Amino acid sequence: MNTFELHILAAERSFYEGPCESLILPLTEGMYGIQANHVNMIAGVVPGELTYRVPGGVDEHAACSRGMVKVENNEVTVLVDTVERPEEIDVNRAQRAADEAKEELLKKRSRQEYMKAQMELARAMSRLRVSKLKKPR
Amino acid sequence: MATTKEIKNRIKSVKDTQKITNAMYLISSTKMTKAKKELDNTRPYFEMLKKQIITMIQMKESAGNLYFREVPVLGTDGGEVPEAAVNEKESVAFLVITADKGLAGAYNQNIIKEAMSLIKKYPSYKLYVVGEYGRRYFEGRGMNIDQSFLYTAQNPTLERAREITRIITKQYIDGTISKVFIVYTDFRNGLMGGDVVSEELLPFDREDFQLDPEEAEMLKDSNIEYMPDVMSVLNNIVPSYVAGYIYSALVDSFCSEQSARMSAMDAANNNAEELLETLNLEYNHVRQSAITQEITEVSAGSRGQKKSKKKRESREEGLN
Repeated sequence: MNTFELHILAAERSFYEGPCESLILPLTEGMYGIQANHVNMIAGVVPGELTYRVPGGVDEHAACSRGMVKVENNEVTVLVDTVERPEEIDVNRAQRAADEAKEELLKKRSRQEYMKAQMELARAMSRLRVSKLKKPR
Repeated sequence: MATTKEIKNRIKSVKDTQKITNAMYLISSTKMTKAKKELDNTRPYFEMLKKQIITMIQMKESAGNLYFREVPVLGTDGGEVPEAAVNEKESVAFLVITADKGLAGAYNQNIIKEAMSLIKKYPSYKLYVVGEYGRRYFEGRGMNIDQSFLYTAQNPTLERAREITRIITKQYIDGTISKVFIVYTDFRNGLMGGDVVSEELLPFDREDFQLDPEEAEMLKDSNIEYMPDVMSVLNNIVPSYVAGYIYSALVDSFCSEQSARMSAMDAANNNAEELLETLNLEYNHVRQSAITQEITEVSAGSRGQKKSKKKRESREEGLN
């Protein structure tokens, strides 16, 4: 299978650098898959679940937050605030964040706050989802 | 003159203080190194982000983006688009970054002086203060603080910067504030605790986002699709960039604070050293004079004894 260079950069660290067969990530428009020789593009990334496959390997999952993705000449750069592997996610914390966000949503406050809580919920839910994909040891 | 006991006590207290200032010096220096290292970790990300923003705002479609001030562009008819008149009533936000604690030389005073001179220019303002020192100062002046932040656990974190960004950009997007100024201390090379800088954080000036001619050439050749369009991608990542900017300002200020404290503590150490020297000298003087006095007393006493002994002897001789 053809591969492309993938760089996943989070704010405080470089998450993954190397070849990749396929990448699936949440864009503003919905889930989006990228394979080798994708047309050049730039798009916004929203909080959600990111999946990439290293050549000959299995799918690797991670929870990502807001950012962007750039595809240029078979080189893909993902710039997001945070990326977490399933084993790095604190399930309890994510659950708590999700509960808090749900509570905020119920309070029916200003639109701005509603949107914020919604984002918060999306982040927490994606974390929880990804954390379930932990590899069996 | 003080007694030896008093001076000894004094020396002990100076030594104790010196121990504290010395410890503070060391703590500041490790804190600074740590914060600097964390900032360096985030550098590649934010540089990349800035590069992408630069590329995007070169696009025609980015015109009118909320986060960027429009430069007077040449209209289609060749005439300049008139610049919007400065609104006197517009509300301006100030993000002032101070320290949580004093004992850092003139660090806090410099920041506050700069902030005050800037705030005076705007009748309507909103204050966002980082640090306990700034909060107390503005509160003491009866100025309304919209929100104050403390350094969590004495260390600037990206999470903190994001929270500040969320609050400020929200107001900015709502239109409650039209400009955001940030007043912080730039670390520079760490010479003498850095310089106070006040910058306009939002809207961004397009001039600060210019491409190298080389890169501009490269950009022309590549044709990139934007999904769904330039504007939404830009809007999606600019807040991240703002957070990065605030974070680096926080770290810069934090490093400056620590370095100001280091030089203040260094000066305190030197002063203590000097004080100890003079106190030691004084102590020796007092001790010496006490010894001399004792010797004089002893010898005077023994002479007196001798005299009276002689007298007695001579009297006894007379009797015999």
